[in-house]
Amino acid sequence: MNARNALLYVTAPVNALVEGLYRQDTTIADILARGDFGLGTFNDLDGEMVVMDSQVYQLRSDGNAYEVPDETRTPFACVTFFRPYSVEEIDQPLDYPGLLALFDRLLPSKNMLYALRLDGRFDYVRTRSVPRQDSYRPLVEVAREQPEFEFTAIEGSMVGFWTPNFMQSVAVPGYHLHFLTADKRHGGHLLECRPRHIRISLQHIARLELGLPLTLDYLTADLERDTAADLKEAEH
Amino acid sequence: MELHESHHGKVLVVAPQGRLDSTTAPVFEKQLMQRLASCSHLVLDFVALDFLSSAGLRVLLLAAKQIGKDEGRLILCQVSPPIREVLEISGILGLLEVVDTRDQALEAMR
Repeated sequence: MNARNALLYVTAPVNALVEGLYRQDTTIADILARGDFGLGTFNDLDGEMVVMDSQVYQLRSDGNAYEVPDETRTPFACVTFFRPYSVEEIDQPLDYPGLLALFDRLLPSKNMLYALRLDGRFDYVRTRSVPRQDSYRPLVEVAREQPEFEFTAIEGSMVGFWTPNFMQSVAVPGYHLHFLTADKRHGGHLLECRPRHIRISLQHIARLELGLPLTLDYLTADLERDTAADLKEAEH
Repeated sequence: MELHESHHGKVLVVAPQGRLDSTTAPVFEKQLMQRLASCSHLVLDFVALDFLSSAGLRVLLLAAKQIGKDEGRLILCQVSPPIREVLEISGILGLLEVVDTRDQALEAMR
């Protein structure tokens, strides 16, 4: 798929999530119609979402992965049809700053959207999964209480995106990755990792489709505040 | 990765050999930019390039931008089908001038 045809579908501006709007009307069936790869969360902030190979996984705050019925709803998800054109094998241990520097070398331009997938063996992975919440509690407060999980000598996959900083009200800026173990039983939002031997697949995405939810909460929300600092603390 | 280069009047021909990936791209970038400091007409001959990843695309974009600033010209030649596919799928092919042979590239530079 040519970069000009590749499209990232974002179900709702991430700003709404940051302000505590944890219920929207987009279903899992809706997002699978627009992509086979991506990440997000679920209504009531009930865990982290991984979409990989057209399968959706819900990584709840107990650290376990669950199957997701098609009618389940999400307040925020980003998906695309993943057709990578660049694949590299990295057969050397890296620390997390080293991995981020490697990502930087892989991006031809930071002004573009990219889908990234990592598969392989990791010496260490640290994740978190958000606990189920009532709406209107700001994301940054929730994020301070989220349980974290550590994995050592683990095989798995990471799915996610690079989003330019100038799009920070639409999607999480920078590198945003969710982890799923190879046995598809555990994972979460990536906080840190040390890869040992991985394959990195990358796709340019030159188009964006943004959903604006037709919900009372969204239509009446005040989204004028600059949420950059909150988002940085909550997501990185 | 090795670089083979030759001068043809004002034109510099650089032929990278091997893989242009995240490991080799930083060195390639440094070497290319050093040469572009004194030459703005560049032919990149990909006859011996086995692999091009997104990291290599980044270097091509930087080189094209530098050459554009200097009002020079960049032409790629002998691009294999797999590498052409990477250029095409990434959307970058349309930004670059590509011809089939080195002779065609040098003729175009005249």
